Amino acid sequence: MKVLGSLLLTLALLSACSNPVEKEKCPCKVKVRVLQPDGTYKRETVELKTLEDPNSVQSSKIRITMNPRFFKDGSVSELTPEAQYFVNEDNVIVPKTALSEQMFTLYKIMEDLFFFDKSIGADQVLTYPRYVSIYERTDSSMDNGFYIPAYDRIRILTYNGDKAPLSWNSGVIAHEHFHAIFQKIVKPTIYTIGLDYEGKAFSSQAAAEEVDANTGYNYLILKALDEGLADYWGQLHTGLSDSYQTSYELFDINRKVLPIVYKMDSQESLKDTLDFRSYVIEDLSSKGKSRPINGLVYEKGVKYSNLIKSMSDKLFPEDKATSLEDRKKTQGEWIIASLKKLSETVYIKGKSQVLSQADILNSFVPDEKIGRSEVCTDLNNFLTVHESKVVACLGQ
Amino acid sequence: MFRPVTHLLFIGFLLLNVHTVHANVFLGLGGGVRLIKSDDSNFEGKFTPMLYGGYKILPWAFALEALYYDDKSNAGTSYTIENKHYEASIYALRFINYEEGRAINAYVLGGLGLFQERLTSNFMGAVDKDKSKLNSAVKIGLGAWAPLGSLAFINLEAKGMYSKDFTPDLIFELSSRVGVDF
Repeated sequence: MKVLGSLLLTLALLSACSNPVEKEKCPCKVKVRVLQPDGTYKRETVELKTLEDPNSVQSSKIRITMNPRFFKDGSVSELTPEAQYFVNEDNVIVPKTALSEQMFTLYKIMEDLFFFDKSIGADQVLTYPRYVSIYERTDSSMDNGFYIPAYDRIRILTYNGDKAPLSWNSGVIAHEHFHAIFQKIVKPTIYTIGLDYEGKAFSSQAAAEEVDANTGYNYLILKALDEGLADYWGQLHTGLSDSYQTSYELFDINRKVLPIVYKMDSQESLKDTLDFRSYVIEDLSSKGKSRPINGLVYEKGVKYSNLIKSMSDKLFPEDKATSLEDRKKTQGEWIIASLKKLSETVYIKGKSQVLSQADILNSFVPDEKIGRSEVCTDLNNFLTVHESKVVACLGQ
Repeated sequence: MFRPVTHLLFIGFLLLNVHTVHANVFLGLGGGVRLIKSDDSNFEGKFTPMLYGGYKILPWAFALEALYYDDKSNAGTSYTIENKHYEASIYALRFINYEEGRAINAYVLGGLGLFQERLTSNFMGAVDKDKSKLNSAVKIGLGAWAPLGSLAFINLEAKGMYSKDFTPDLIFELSSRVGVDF
């Protein structure tokens, strides 16, 4: 008893000398990596306004998880991270491992996207918390990021490159995040009319041949548009025409988002190229190892991203905006409104008829007359001569 | 001006006198395995080399310990973070029924540690540095002390350490030191 008493007395004295035990309170300031307008990354102190728990890097709006495993019943097995950090003399949280810094940086990017979504009303279509899953290590790293519609989350693979990790790259994260917005606004219509082949496993050539040629094409052209708009979203958030090059050496396809209007392929040519059934059959014969259609989708997507950028610059000229933030907001609102109109078009025409370029792009012509004629000039340059014209531009 | 052998003789003289006058001083080197949580919530063992010394007033002993460890991590080949942990602790040890000549004497301990972390991050050659506040930790544990003849000792300790600045708050360490009794 004397020993125990002595020990307790010692501990009591020690406790009295030590600091009161209390965890970091958030909202809090954290050091993260921020992509700069010149394409470099700087370590900056930022305030995470929505963060509730710095240890698990989560809040009711955003959750960062680790090493997810996805199951067919829709469930996900994953780890809640235990972020490693210390607090410096300025009361700023300093992540002390590369992975923890990636988690906090990802959180900051997702928080910026959350506030932007809120300002343009996109938060109304999304569900929260938004999930981003990262990996401590993957067996076969591909230095890539994905949006997984079935699980409504972004997945970032381990980075093994020699540039900036993907989880720092706000352009890449904004791109993947946009897929969630597209998924929530346009995809419900796609599901309703039976256009959805996302994640659908085709076990045989016979099953693939049952896919209606028109709906298969519509699915792929909308996928190309989704990719193009996602690249535009990345550009909108970073101000960079090509944020990918800060993480990747080279892409097979030039994904720069510039205000250039390329001539889109003719409907005939597009239908030949984006032949969903041929793609599935080719995929089956290569046992899933070759996905050539992805390259084609991105290639067409670039034409869309550049067209949308050109239209956006004409509709919302920089010199007429009260601020950069205000301009970004109106550009975001334009895209959300256009997606809603597109969803209606897909519902009306997407099931059995081929969605023409004019059908798709009509959704992006604003009701207001300001800038409409310039936008229609872009659209006329984009469409081949023999294509049907965009209805909203008739008479311009 | 003084030859090395003179230094050695002088140090020997001091040690002999310390042994004569302060028979309860001890000094040792050791190492520990500290169980800390990694980013994915699993525990990982971190080796902690340490210096250890103190003074016995039986059945009590008071000890000072200094330890250091570092942790390196990376993302890709262009980015690394190195975090160095420096810690100094003071302990009060209370032997349980200490007996001269017994092979092993058990003790309980309580202590207070002060630590600071210093971080260096390097992205494509751009280096950033940061350091933590000076933080404190409360420590309690159990140990066993074995004299090795009349001039040396070995001890083994298991400790729980509590600080709001550890992740998680409560972490564990198993450590052992070998040293000399003066």
